[in-house]
Amino acid sequence: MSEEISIEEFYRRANNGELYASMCMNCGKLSLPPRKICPSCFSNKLTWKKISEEGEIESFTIIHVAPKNFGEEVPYAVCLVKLKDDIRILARMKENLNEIRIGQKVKIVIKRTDRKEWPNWPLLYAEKL
Amino acid sequence: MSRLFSQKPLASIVSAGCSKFGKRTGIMARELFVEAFEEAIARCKDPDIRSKIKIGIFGNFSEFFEHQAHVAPILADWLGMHNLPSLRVENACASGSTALRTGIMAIQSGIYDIVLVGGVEKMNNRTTPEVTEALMTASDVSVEQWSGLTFVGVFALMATAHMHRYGTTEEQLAMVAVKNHRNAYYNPKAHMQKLITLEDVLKSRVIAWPLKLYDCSLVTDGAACLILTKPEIAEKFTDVPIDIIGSGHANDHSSIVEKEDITEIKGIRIAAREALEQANLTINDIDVFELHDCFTIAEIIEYEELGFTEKGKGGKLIEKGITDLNGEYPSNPSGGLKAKGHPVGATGIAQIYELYLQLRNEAEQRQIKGAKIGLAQNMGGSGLTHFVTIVKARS
Repeated sequence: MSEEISIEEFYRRANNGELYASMCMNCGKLSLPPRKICPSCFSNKLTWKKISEEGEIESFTIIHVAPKNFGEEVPYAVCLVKLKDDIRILARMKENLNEIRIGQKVKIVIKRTDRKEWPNWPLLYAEKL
Repeated sequence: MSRLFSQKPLASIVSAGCSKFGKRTGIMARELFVEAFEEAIARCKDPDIRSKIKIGIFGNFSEFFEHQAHVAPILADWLGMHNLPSLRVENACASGSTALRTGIMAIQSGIYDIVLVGGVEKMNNRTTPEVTEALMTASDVSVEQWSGLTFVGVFALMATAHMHRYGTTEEQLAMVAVKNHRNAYYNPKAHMQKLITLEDVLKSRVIAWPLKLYDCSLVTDGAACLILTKPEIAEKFTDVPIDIIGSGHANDHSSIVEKEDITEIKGIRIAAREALEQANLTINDIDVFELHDCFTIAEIIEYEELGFTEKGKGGKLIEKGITDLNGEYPSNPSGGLKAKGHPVGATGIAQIYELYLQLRNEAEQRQIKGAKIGLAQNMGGSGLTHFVTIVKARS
């Protein structure tokens, strides 16, 4: 693992099964995607902070017309999840689409991809808790 | 530009043109732009205006559609002005307003006195999945695109949250589409001159729930342009100059993940405040509005951000007909992006073209009676770039 703060490093860490956000060492603000400059106090001293994979659905949509990378998987839901650390993430859900509700407790599950071309970042899924 | 506040206009529109919007098979972007430009030339009092234009500033979103980058000098060349300095600006769906704002700055700087601003997009060479892919590039690749979210999907997230928190309904969203189609019926340049019913919208196929096909703007080919001058010389070129008296521009976070409140589009409020302060007006002084209805939920939230109503009550507002042609805040008399169409790079300029017609009393059956002041609101990406422009007929 590199200590360098970057989006690629966020996904490398996710590939190892863990979610990290950038944390400002000056004001404590957490950011996802991770940032090199704190959007709150403009400090450039940031570090990685491991964050919880659990949270709740703040909003969602059911995608029926998808971009080409995801086209064969429709319909699927994309959920805006507010994690326990009070930071948001987007994650997909493929099952029980009729039961998705705002406020539902979920857990982020990370899946590696075998894509050859960039970006070959892992995919994030939400699963009902 | 807020520091430049004065009663004097920022710039004046002395002529304007707009191509027919639609699926324009067999015509390229540069040729669509010629169609818009010829109208602007024909409307101008000075037949020799072409030789007096000092720079061309063009909004164009994606080189993907025609496999053509470096568009600006090509457009200038096709207008018969191959030596004209020209540049292309890009801010997704707000590329047109970016060109306009850049043109205003060119005039305010004192470097140029006569400026051509325009926008064009030729989208229908590509299939729907290809267009979806191209539009998606306007959202943040590192989070939004990688989550399988489409561009519609980002607005659908806003819609679901707005419905949950404020009780906004799918019927209220559909009413925006019905209204804008009704207005476009009277606009001969609109992509779809077709009346639709609430049921048509509600029964149309789901694209990204809760948004359905008829909640979405159209994939349109089109071009529009304006000729701007410094206010002092405008009357040499037209008997009825339309003065630009306010121009606001604001941004927000790159993706929906970091927006403070996803039921809001805060950048609209900031840009509107800047434009209204420059113009020394309140929202109630505006007679006619062109709004960025890329998806029906956007227009509902825009009512709230512009102050037509309180936060959360945009859905109720559309029910009362307040934004109809004869309402208190007539919105999208052109038919909007929803029915007039949304050729991405042209949209911001085409909104001003509609206001130009309205303020000159040339909008025929969709004319807002006695309209003197108009406001256009244009947005780029998933609520990321915002422009608000206020124009006024010179009396």
